Amino acid sequence: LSKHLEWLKQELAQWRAEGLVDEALARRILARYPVAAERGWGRVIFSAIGAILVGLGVILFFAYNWQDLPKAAKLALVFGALALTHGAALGVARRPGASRALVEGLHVLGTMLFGAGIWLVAQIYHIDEHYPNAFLVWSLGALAMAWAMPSVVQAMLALFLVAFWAGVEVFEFDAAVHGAPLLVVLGVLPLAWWRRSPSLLFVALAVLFLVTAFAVAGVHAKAVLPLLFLMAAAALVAGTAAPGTPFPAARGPLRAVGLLVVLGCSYLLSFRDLAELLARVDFSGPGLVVYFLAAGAALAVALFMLARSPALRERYRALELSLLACGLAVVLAGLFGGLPKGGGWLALLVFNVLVLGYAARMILEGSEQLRPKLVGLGCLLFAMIAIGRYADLFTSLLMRSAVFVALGVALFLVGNYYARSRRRAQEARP
Amino acid sequence: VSPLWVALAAAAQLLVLAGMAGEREWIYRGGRVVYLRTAPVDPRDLFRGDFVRLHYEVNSVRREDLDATLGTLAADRRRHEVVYTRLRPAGEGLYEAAGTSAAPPGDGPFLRGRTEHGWRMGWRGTGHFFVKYGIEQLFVEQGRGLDIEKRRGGRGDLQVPMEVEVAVGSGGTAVIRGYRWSRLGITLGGGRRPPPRNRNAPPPEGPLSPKLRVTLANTSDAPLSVADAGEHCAFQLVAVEWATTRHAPASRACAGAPDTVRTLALAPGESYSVELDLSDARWHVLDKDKPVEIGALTGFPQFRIEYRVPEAASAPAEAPLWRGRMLSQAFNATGVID
Repeated sequence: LSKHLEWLKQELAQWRAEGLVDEALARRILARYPVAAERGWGRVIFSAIGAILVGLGVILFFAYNWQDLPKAAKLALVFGALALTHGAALGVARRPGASRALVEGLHVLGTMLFGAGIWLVAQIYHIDEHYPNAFLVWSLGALAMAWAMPSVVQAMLALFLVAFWAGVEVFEFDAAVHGAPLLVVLGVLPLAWWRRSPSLLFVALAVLFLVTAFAVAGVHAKAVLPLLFLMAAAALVAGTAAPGTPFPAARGPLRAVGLLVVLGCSYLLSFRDLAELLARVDFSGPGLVVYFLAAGAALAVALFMLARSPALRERYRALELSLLACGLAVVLAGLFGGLPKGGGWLALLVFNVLVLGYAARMILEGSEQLRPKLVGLGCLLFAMIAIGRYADLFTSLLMRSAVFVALGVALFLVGNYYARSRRRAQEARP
Repeated sequence: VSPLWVALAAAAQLLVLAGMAGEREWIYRGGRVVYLRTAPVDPRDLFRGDFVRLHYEVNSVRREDLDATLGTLAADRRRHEVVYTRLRPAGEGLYEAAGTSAAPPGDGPFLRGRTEHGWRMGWRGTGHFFVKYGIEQLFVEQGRGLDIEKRRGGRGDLQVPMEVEVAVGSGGTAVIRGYRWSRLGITLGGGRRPPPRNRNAPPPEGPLSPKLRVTLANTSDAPLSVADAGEHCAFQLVAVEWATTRHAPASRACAGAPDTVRTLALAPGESYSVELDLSDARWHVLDKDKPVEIGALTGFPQFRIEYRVPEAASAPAEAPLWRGRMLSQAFNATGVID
């Protein structure tokens, strides 16, 4: 908004100079667009980053493990620093007109010191336990602060630590941690809803997909793609229906993450080898059924919300949801043995059409609304599917050359269509 | 914002740290103190700047040392199972493993650990598995790890085991209190090596096994004594911990060894060396009930030389006898030292 205001101020100055408006009118026009109340987000973020850097410095200081510092002094240092930081934040918060950024920054520093304390205590007593647990405990400490304050920054710190915990467990110890998705669903998503925070919702959804993929890969890797597709479909549908809910701003993060994962999964499933894995998912792995049931339930709730939402009447939504429904039908048929023999080809066809359909939707919608980034994204998808098929479908050089000619012609047409849309929009101005 | 909730969350963070530190401090002050010896340094022991990774002899649990309740554990290679390892005195104030069970033993000191496997712990077979007790890292000031590494010794050097002082709580939780160095060090040196084997050709003439030099050195600052008997009967050939097959010694040459015990007083820094020709009948092992040289065994067997003081040995008070058990580095039948 501030960018638009800057633009308006410059325009008004020009209009005054040209005599189109007088000083009083210019002031009245400007008064219609008040500067949004300063939420202090920038300062909060800078304070939080500063606190995180100071905390990392403290961790490294402790990591040096200065031998001349007695054990009692080290313990006093870590307990004292933790108590002092949180105490100072509480003290500042009690003062009238206290800076939210300062309070937030001090509490984030406290949580960083809490993490440093876990490693320091382990260092003092030479503890060599299962070290990913330290990230879990640290994230729980951050989550407790996130709910108590409430604080989006603390919640994001907790999410980062949960992702790190789940990642270390799966890559270092080959262990599936089902607690990670559960922690995000029960510990962070309700907070994002309560605070109506799109940024927290975005990060929480991204981490949820990531840690779910980690956990399910540790049980049965073949189940990852269909499960993520179901979850992403639920997010996409819920995002489409979000404007009719008390949290309309959820639309952006839900649709962005949902669309990204739906398209990512669809692109991978457009390769025959991966599409054929759909029919080989074995539900006997521990906890696997629970994941699919939860994703199915989320999708059912999202569809229920969508049925009552005016978003269905939006242009291109019907096309988008029809494509999604086709993808869902293939995924569910694959999972429940409903794909006919040679169904890999059917899946391949559906997911190619799905990705191409989404690419077309982005290009058309972006051209009509003059959103070049959306058009660019659609063209990128189009190019990706062409390159994918070049690699696995067409072996004849003649066919391959035809693919590239078709791709070039299509992009040329897109550019032409976008230019015409822009010209029409300019001509339509009074 | 309710300051009460924020204060409670901050207090929870403090309490978690206090709980962690309090439990260990309680054991540190009141636990039973034992010394555990670190295993011989093989090249895979890692030093990562500010901490020393410790590998104790009690980390390696052989399948035959498992309690009946854990009989299937090694075969299944299950991870992170809680197990309890009983400890018994092993001389020089040290303790060694005396069996591992699923339930805590009724009496005597024991350690609570978790089973591990995988490349990180050096899994090399099905004959044993690793148990971690949470005391496998010794944090030191940055840069000091290298000093410890040098003192412990590397390939071909004098190896001096660390003897880690550990306080053990009533539930088997262990806390490192400190460490000391063994008064005796050991070096394994290569000597004659057998000719290379060709699987498709008949065994070559002459010795098939290596000749090795073992040196025991007094690494303390006071005199001490070591003892030997007969045909170096204080030294034994033992299979490495991860061996799947253990060959029994074929020779009875050391059965009457107590008559020939000889004690040697070593001044600080002084050493006692022996040359062991593993081709001699004294070192033959049983393979399918037949005595063979280790060089004639199939596969890729690895061994260590174990020094143990003969029971009949005695020494004067001014140079007390070192009464422990010392293991060399691993080596294979072709004389390659690990």
